Amino acid sequence: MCDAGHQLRVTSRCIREDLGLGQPPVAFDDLVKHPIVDAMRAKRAVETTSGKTVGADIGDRSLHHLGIGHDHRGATWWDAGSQVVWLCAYGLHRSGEADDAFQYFDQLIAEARIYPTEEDYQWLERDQAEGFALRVGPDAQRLLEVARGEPGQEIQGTVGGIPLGIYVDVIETLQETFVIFNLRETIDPNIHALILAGFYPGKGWDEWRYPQSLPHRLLAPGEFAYATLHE
Amino acid sequence: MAVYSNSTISSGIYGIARLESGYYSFMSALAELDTFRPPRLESRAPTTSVVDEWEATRFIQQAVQPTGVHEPTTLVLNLEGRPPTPAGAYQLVVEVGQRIKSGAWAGIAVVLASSDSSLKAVCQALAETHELPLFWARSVADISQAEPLGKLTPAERETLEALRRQGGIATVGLLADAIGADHTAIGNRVNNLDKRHFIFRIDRPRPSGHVYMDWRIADSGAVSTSPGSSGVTVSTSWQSDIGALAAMQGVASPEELASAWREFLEKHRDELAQTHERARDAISRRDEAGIAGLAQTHARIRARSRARKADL
Repeated sequence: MCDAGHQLRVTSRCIREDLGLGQPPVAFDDLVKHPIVDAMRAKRAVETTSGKTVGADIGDRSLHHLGIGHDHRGATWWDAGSQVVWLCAYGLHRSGEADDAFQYFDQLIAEARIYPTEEDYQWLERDQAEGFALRVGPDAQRLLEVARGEPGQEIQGTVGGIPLGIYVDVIETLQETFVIFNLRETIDPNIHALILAGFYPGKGWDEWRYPQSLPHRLLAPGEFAYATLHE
Repeated sequence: MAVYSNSTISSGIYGIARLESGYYSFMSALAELDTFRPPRLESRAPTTSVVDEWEATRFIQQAVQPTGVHEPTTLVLNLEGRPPTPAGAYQLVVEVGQRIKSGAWAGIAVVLASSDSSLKAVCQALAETHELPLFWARSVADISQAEPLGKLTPAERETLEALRRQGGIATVGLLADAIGADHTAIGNRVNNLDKRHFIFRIDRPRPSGHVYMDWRIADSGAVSTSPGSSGVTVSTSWQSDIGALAAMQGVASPEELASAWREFLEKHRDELAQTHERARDAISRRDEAGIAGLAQTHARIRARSRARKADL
């Protein structure tokens, strides 16, 4: 994960066929010994796209040129939906020769083999799940602490990387906690269950209700809230 | 709430309703989850090593039963290792294609699956000659990449591909934005593709607008995710509904999404309570592997959706 908030990844096809660095999944840090991956880390950690396009300029699907030294050449793609810059292909620049990197990139584009595949996204999902697992409990408790410190204020934050809102309503000796999800962000029931358990591990599913509105405002379209009472 | 147009519904796993002619008239109101549910995936294979004309006829009759109400179904006829004779291929392609084209097999799309490129060429020629709405896949595991076999204009192919890249489900507006063409032109294209059975339409009242679905997303992982990978007892309905929710994320309005989520919570209260119990247990024990396992139970559905969008 870069400081800018996005990830740098190398597609499985590129690891196998272009870099020859073993069988994926391979950790990004283990790939950095390769000059093009090192260049990717230096250049794409800050700018997700820069330089000329590889192939046609096709808007948000454009591939971008990445170069280092005399002959190391790569093609990267900024996958905004997943917040990942992918190194999709690598080759050596051999001007005018059949095995020139850019001819190779064109061939991969023509064969529809250059973009990340289901295998790549499965690894991305796996890595994201591992990151989520580390953070869900601590993030939820931290956010809850902030919200309890400011009852009557909706607090925005992230739990395990999932953006959500939390609101604590004080009713005499009781408190009611509202957890507000944007269903556009996540509609996976397991993620909802894990996040709610992260806030209150002691409360069963039946102790959460589904309010139609929040104490301080109506739910926005696409929002869904859970609420639970506690002392 | 919505109604299917092209996909007439009858009961039974592979049942089809025989319609007289013209457009379809299934008028049962559907809940949000049903509206966005990907087609059911069914697979059949001939039982004999040689598929001649007689065996092809028998296979067709047995593959689909003409009874009952059902949901839109993508039927894979697996021909791998069972190459039909010329007469068998003719019977299989033309008879099946004509049944779909005529509406006798309404609500069903057929994908012929084999790695045999010569057989593909023969089937393609037959489908083009008779203008039959069939698909071809290299294997039963490759349905999302199936190619249309019948005659399609370049604009129709472009539209079909754009629909696939949208995750196999889209409105005219989404497709028009993706392709960069005007709504009327895209509306005409999807209407043609629907009438010719290469896609199917789900009617929704204004202002939601009709939704068009690609038969090939039957291979969405919605029903084929390994059950029990997280240790939770899963039902086909639960998996299928999660697939429908994932499909909705890109195309449904926020109100529809919230409505579908409420429907899901009501319908799957027991499964949710069970999942939540496991989540509480894993978090209480700080079992990171257990949490990660639960978090990625439905990862395949999301990974497929993401890969489709990345794939040109």
